[in-house]
Amino acid sequence: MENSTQGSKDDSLRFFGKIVASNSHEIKNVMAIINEKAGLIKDLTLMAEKGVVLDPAKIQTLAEGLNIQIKRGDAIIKDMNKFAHSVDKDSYQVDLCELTALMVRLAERFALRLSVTLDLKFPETTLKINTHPFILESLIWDCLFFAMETSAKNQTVNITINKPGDTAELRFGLTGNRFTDPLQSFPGDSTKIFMKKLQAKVLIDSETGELVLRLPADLQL
Amino acid sequence: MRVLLVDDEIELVSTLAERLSFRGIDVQWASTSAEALAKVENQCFDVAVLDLRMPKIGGLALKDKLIKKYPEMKFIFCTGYGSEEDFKAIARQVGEEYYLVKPLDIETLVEKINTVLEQNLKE
Repeated sequence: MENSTQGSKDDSLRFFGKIVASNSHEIKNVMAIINEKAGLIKDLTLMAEKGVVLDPAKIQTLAEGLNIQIKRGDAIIKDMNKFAHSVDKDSYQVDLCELTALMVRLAERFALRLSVTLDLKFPETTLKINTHPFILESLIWDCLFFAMETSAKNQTVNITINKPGDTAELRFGLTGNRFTDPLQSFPGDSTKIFMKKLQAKVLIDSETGELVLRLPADLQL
Repeated sequence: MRVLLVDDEIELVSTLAERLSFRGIDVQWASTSAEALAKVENQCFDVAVLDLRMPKIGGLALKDKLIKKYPEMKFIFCTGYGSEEDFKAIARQVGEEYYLVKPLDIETLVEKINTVLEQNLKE
């Protein structure tokens, strides 16, 4: 048990590192774009000094492009900050929709690499649950990643959230494909530890072919 | 001299292409490996500047495909990887002299392009 607990901690740390590395790479891209656009403004200014007419519309477009990248960078940093703070406390009330949306945004770059699209549909009302946010993020990530890897290329992983009775559910559906029961390689050992900690279940809905992550709405730690 | 730039960040690759063209370089750009392969179907390029990490086909795999068509084509790689360890690992694969880390310095890129072209002429 001690070994599996250590294994789970290592996996959590690896997951944390993976997210930080992916996002820092994204921020590098944002900085690289800002660098080129600023460089282009400098080039145009130098050309203007030599008598080339400066087009105000061009400068305006470049300034708008810089604003877009600054907003993009800001959004990435906000998500990283939100994710980093999820380890602050063991248990508190979270908005499951917000937390899932965060994980989907963090997974976007990985989805792009696997040629998969992620489509998250929210329920009509907000869904608050008491849980351990970081373990839940790890569990959602594992399910999301398994769904992305199972999905055919150029297809969509559809994620829906609902609240049947005193539980909360995340459903992962594949466009043009189904999860078949029993799953061969999922959940793995570390995912099982996360499930145990959150008293969660992972099952297949045999009618819809969706992967279902079922959680207690009020986790008693 | 004709240069092909390939990076999945359209805003980056298009701006960089414009800046290189101001420096007298005949440059074309593509935002996917598929687009790059389509461009080399009807045009010849001397140098390709490739982003290492792109969805579907990354820079190294794209190089393998391009070099089959143009064995004399030269390559420069760039990436957003941050750490010293990352740099060393990739430099070992592609050669430090053909490798740049983002954000790029335009004058260094121009210098690298000229260096690989000179090597090409010597060969």
